[in-house]
Amino acid sequence: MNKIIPIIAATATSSASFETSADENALYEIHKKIYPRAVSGWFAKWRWVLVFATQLVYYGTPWLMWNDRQAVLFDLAARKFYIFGIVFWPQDFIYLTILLLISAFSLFLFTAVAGRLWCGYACPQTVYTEIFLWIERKIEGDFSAQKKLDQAPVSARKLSLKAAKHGVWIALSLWTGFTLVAYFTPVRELGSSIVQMTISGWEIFWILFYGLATYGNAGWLREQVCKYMCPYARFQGAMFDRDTLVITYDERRGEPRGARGRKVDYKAKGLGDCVDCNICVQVCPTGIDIRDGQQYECIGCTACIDGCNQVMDKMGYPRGLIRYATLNSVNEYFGWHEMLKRIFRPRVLFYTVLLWAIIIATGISLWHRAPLKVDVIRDRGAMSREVEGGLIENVYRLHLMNTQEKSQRLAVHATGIEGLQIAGLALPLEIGAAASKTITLNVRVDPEKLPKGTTPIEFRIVAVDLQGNESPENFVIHEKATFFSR
Amino acid sequence: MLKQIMWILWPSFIAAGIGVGIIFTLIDPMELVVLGDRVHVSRTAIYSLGFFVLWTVAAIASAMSCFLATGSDTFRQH
Repeated sequence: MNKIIPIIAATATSSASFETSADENALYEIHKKIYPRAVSGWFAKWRWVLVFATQLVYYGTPWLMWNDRQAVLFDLAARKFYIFGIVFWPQDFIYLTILLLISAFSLFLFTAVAGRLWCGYACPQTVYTEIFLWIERKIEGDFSAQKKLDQAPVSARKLSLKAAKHGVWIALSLWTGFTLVAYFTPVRELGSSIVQMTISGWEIFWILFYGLATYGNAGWLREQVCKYMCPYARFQGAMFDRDTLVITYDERRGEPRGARGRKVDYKAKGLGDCVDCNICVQVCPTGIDIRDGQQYECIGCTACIDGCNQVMDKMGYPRGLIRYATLNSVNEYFGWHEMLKRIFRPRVLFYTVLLWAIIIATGISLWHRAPLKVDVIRDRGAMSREVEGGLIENVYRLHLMNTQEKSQRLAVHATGIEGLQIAGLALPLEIGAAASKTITLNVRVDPEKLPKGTTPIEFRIVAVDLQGNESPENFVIHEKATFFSR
Repeated sequence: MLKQIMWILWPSFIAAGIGVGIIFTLIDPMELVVLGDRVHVSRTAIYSLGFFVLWTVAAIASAMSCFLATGSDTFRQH
């Protein structure tokens, strides 16, 4: 391993070389505003259906009621999450983790089957950009009118159009921020606190914060969020394979592209089906040319498919020069049948099985959730002490959380040592709907019966009826603890 | 410049969100003792402040990563 490393004298680098070189400047090209042309068609219609559906859920959910309270409420101040009939406590953290797992695997599954479905149809970034673009078009006109307006000198008309657009954008953004906060503070309380000007500073802050984020992301940043901020755009390639449905330009059919008249026999002239009208580029919200092949910037919004299909119709060519297709199907001329058959490949089956396994296991676990959560904590003070009558006492704190939305009556018993008793505890205990309670338990025993050192004991918490009788169909919870002798 | 700002603020925002979620699920802010004293503000205030503290810390880390990553490219070219 006697490698000789040649040492070459180098001149000291001047400070100038630390300045950005021309190459680097090229990497950081100046961002040009994209004016996407509006498009209509089958996919555009579906995108709007999804915009309405997702926003109906988002803006509507806080207004739903359940058992005289907001149906979906993440009550951070009380550390309780209400989702319809279920109340979650911090101890249910595991369900949040599971929810993230389910979301991740769903994303993997959809991506493996049909690429960036999420991005094109459901991602808030796309959805709000779509809404904001619609507002912009209604106020400023179509993409060429917008461009002209931006280039025009300042005038009363320009200022009023811009003011109107930003005004509507800001109003919508504030409503979006208000809705977000309404998931954490009951919406009716929040609304009336705004009207009466009693709203808390933090609530105003988060409404403005989320409002500003919406306005900035959907009004200004737009496709740059997808291009530079979104991690999913970068790792989507790991979930793709040659049988994933993606938006594809059929190069073999389209090339060589070129302009031609409608009546011309283009095949005789050696031209492909692409008329090079550039509609696919004009409608693209991220400003790419799908004909250059698959690119990470493509958010799968299908605007180019709709745009191209319209042109194909006008020309009297078959649709689908740009279409949802798999790389394999384009390269090997598969039909739909073969393409669909290949959806059921090991990767997709694996994601599906795993996803359903998690969903079913979670469902079962939620169904069998204990109606009461119990924690027994030893008192941090004295380990044990002697009390009146010569008895030995240990003190515990019993923390009870009612996960049901009706109050419960409980009895608590201590077992494990002969003659073990809980002093001064009024039974039955009453615990309100979705409430928590901490009770001090003074557990006493005759020292004659108590073994030296530590003895394991058990608390038995049982639901009882009005008369204090245990009803057989009700639950029993056992909690282990330790009893110290002197 | 805008890109660098996005690269610094956005990942740190996500990290702070995850961090604040985990920390305050496990710890009730009302049981926090800060500099020997119980905190006297609302839970919402603690959650919000906690989020911004984490965001700042994470943004510093992101900014350093961003700085080091760009720096190494500059050196490799020369």
